[in-house]
Amino acid sequence: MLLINNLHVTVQGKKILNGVNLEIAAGEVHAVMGPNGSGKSTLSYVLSGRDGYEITDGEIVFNGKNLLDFDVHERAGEGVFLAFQYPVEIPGVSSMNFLRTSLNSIRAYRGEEPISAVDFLKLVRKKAETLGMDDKLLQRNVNVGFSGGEKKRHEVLQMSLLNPKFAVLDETDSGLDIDALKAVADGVNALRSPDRSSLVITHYQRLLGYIIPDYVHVLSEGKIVASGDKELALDLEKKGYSGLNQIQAA
Amino acid sequence: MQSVQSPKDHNISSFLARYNARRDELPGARNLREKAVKVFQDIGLPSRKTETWKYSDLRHLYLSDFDLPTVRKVNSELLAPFILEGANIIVFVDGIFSSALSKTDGIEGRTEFQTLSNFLKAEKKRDPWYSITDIKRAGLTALNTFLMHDGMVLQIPSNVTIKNPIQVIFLNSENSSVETHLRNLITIGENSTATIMQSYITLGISTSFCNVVTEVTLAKGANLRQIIHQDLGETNWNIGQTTVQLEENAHFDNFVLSSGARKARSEICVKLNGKEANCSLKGLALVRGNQHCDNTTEVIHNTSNCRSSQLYKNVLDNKSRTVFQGRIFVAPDSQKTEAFQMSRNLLLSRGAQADSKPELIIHADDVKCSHGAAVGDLDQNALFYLKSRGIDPQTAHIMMVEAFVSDLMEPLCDDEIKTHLEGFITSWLLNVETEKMQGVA
Repeated sequence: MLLINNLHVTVQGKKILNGVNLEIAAGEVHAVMGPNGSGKSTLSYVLSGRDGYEITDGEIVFNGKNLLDFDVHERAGEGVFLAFQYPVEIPGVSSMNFLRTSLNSIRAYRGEEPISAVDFLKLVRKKAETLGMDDKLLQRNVNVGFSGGEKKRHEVLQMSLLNPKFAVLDETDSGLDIDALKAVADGVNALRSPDRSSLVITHYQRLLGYIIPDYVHVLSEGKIVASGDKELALDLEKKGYSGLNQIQAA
Repeated sequence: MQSVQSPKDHNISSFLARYNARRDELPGARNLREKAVKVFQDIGLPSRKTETWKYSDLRHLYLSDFDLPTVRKVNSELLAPFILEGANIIVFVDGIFSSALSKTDGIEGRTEFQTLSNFLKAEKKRDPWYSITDIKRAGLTALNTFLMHDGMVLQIPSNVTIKNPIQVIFLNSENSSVETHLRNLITIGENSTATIMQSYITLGISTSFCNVVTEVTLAKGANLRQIIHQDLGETNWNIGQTTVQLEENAHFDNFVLSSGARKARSEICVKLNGKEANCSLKGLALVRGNQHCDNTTEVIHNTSNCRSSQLYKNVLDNKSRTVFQGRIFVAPDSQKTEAFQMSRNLLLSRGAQADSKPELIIHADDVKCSHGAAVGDLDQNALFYLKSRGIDPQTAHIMMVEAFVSDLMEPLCDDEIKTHLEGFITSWLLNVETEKMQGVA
């Protein structure tokens, strides 16, 4: 589904990614772990197409297409979804309006008819209920006045509505208490399917206790330095990122 | 030997010549006109040396030639897109009242509507007629006072609620190039309520100069919502000056949406003269190209326990320019005053310029007053967030600008007016975005 080949990225002239290689097949969940400053967030932004990240070498192939040829909104249309580490507050835009515009944009991209207001309301209420979200929250402006947990649930709600093929979860566990973490992980797990893949970016092993990955990669200084199964995450938790060399040697 | 006139003297004398030529046909208020002529000779036309006009240069206006207003027929179908559904309609074409296009029989409750020219003719015996406008305020106000020829006079008696809005349309007809000096007088009786919307519009292309002075008096407990929508073509001039006087417990709500004209200035002076009177002033300018829009306000707290709030927002594209000058004056002993002011500017282009000048003069010590000003561009994080959810850049921009102006629209509780203005704002944004896209292509 996704192939990242020798990806080099600089931000404001500074090299952040130095030849990342990663292959994710349909239905797989991969986790990328790594210390602060290793390039985890850069990887998520490059996948979603944010401005300011210069790709100096390499390629990203998504379902046979060159992902780098697409603009941000087109990538979303192609089925790429980024769950933000820090969801953005947008005063003046109601969450309902945002979700509906978003869903109809994606439907239009796929050549589908827009969803009616009534059907949309039914759909969003059902999804919110599954996530344990109060749908009154959606009458408010996008993420304004939301708690940390509510913001992350809102991200998962969007993911569930937009039905992406490939989701990047950027530090989805940060700032969550254990109940919110469970609810968010349940939401993500409910979306696991043979034709959908995810990339879970996280600093700690904690989240991976709830979203069990098929593969774990360690990113350090802009390169993947170790890959393995979920046991690798547990090893890392015990030995810390400073113990990376031992892990690599093993 | 003949003396050579400076351009400034030339402008003054050419306006005076227009008065002298028309003196006998201008309706009533003879003494007031003569007084205004003297003031005008004394203070002249505002220039950039005048402190309250330093950001708005009108030299091109003074050098332009305009025709005198003449009666022109306009097909009523052409007006349809501008008309507020369910409203009472008063129409002026090139500054002259058109009874054929107006529909005033629905104004309920003993309300008296007449044209200014009829009003002044009838008032002849009582000359000088009492005006609350300070003619020394600016040369253009004095100019309006001696050249005023028509306008709307609306007198709402006590204890009346006018349910349907009254829409006053000032229309520049196609190919017109007229100079109009209009005067509107609005009085709202005790405990009466009304909504008045003034629309300035152009059919086709016109190059006119419209100088409007409006006087509003609100008696005890009176309530007025005034909405001004100025959407003249970009080759017109629009100068407006409004003076509002409020008695005890009166409430005044004002919203100015300016999207048209080459240069527009809307100046409003509100005098809170009775206890517990309050006013809310809001403004939105949507400007592009080389447009220039100036909102100047003055709120005078003449007594205690009054509240005022001001919120002005500007959205600027290309090389357009906006000015906000806001003054709050709190007189001695006007205790328990609450006065707030905020000006926010959204620049969609690097070439645009927004000037903001707040001014607080406070002579009482038990008051809550604040002011603020901000200039910025669209939040790039928010734009990325919207786009990452599949929303195309054009729609994302429109959503963000609509979000920027949303708090101005909230208090417009009348659905019809709100829908009308929101629809207008969206189509304005769509035009701007579409032009940008075509520009890139």
